[in-house]
Amino acid sequence: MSEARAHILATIKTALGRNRLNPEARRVLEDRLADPKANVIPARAKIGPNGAHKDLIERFLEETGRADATAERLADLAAVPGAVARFLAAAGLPGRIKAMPDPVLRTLSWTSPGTAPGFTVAYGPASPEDTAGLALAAAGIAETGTLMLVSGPERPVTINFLPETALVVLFAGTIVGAYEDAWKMLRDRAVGGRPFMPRAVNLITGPSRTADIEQTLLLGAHGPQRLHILVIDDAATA
Amino acid sequence: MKPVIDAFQDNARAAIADSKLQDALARLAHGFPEKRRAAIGRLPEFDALRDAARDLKNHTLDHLDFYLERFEEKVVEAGGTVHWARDADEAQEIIVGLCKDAGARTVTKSKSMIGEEIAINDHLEAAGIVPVETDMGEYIIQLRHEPPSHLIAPAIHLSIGQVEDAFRDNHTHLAHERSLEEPRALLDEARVILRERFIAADVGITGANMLVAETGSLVIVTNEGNADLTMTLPRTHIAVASIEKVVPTLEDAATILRVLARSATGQDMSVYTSIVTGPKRSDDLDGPENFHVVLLDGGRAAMLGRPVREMLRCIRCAACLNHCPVYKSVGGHAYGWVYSGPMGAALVPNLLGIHNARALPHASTLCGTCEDVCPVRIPLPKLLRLLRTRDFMTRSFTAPDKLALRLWAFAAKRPALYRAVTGALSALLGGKGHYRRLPFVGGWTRSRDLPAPARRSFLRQWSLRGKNDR
Repeated sequence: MSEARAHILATIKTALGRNRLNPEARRVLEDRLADPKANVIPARAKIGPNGAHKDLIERFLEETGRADATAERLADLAAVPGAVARFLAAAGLPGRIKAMPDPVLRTLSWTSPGTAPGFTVAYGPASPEDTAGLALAAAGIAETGTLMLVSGPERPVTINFLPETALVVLFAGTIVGAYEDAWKMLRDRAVGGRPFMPRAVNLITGPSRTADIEQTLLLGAHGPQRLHILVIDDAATA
Repeated sequence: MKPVIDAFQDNARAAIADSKLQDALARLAHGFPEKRRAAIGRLPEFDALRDAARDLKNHTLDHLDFYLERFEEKVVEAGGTVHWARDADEAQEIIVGLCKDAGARTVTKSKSMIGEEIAINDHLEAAGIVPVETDMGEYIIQLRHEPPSHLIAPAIHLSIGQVEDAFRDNHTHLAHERSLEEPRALLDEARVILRERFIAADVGITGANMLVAETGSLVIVTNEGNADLTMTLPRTHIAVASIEKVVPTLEDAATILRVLARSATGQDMSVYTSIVTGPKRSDDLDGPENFHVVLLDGGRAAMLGRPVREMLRCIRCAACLNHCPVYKSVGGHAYGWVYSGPMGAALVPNLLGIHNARALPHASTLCGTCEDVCPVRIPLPKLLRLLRTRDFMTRSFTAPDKLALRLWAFAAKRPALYRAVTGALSALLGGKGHYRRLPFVGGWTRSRDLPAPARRSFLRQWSLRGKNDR
């Protein structure tokens, strides 16, 4: 235990006018941590009284559009390669993509109709020469049109930041209302009492931007200049 | 950087005469505040969220020792290390030491106000390590060797021409004939140069917007994505944060996030909010192998026991700067150190001591707009008034000052005498118009005219009107 640590903690206690917390006060704090409660969740993050989950999907699409992302809805996962190829061609970009080596994305057939001849796909972490990346989102958060991506053995985070063009697959079934709903998904992933947090949780709302030069808004500062979301409606694969 | 706060009045005078700066400040006045208003207009719960944010920050400060210890425990559990620093010297020593241990030659940095506070770049350079700022605004001011002038828009004081000059002076390997007139051309040039730096860096240093005690996570917010490249690509990630950045849970972090970007840039959410917990796991495909968090006190723990503790709720959104008539007139550099605007005026005298920052509590009209827009409801005018009192109590006065105050106090405690004196002065000087020059008040009339007092005092007019009305 460092001298500085002891000194800072002692200064805090002195300033707060107490020594150690009494057991009861401590229990209250432990409970607050063990069972975290939401503070205020805005109405826009909830389904209305007569609403349905599709309202959240609509809200997600509207909000993510406000943040300068584009999105399209696909009937099923099999439609992804064709949509990726079309998007890249329309943007005048090379027909190649680096995809997360996630088992779900690995099932994609890149020789299916719609992908142009010569289109290439590679799975793995992104490297600086990759022009476009394909990722799988863990969730969509409707209140601000935010994607949640998590790191893991098959989910490198570099895919989200290095390529200039980011394409993200999002299952409509994983769109939730509030950030707190997304935290619940993270907590539910925990296995056998191990910490539930992946190394990195990336909440992404639109493409990268800066306004540091005379307040002029420019997209694509260090991260992607384009963010295109492929929303998969097929419930069976969700 | 070394604080030079005593120069506030000179700095302010120079700032007001600087037409490029005034153009930049005019842009600021219309940018962030209008976007903030629009974002809040779409969120009816904004005020309820501000209350919740204030309450959760107060709760955390009341139990700061508990939450910091829990945060440390969780960081260690995740495979990281927490270092504690009482002051800037200890913090820079720890960071330089970690960089040396990592064999670092270059270090990428994501904008951090604590990094500015401890002047980490100077110390890295002194140790032969090259620090590279990667936030676009921070990169520009690093090239110009100047401090940030704003919490979230560090190069807000510059014109595009000044940015172009900085790039031409520093990027000498590029063709001189290239065009840099458009912001996009400047951004593209910086993006290419910084991309190489990201890949070459041995260590990445970031700040942290929040520390989550529940999970031992850092919450790091940017719009550019530079923090993510800074902390993902190098082998070592060092985050430096002050102790009041801790929040209990992810739920609490969500509440702060809902007020942070809206108050700052008027976005509903910043583009990248990254929550990172420990180093790369054994089966991860990327991420840093070493994960260090440096916790800085820097005078904050002692603030907890005083009224100024409310300042420790601050989440560095810059709404108070963007709405302050003084900041909008003089910009950030006039304040003389890394923090500016109302939050700087209220915080800096507590971090550096009032004797080192006497001018700052007076750099305010106390109009109250800062408190109105603060997402965590810090009563900034009240804190500034308390600091003015502290300034007064610790000041030594000249004999004429003391005599003048004593005479005034003598009269003020005797209403009849006071009225007689002010009545005589009103009769002598009263009327319409302004005085351009008057004896004894040269300090006032040197820079502005003194309006003539009314011929009759308010009390006199009131009693006359009362008689006529009845």
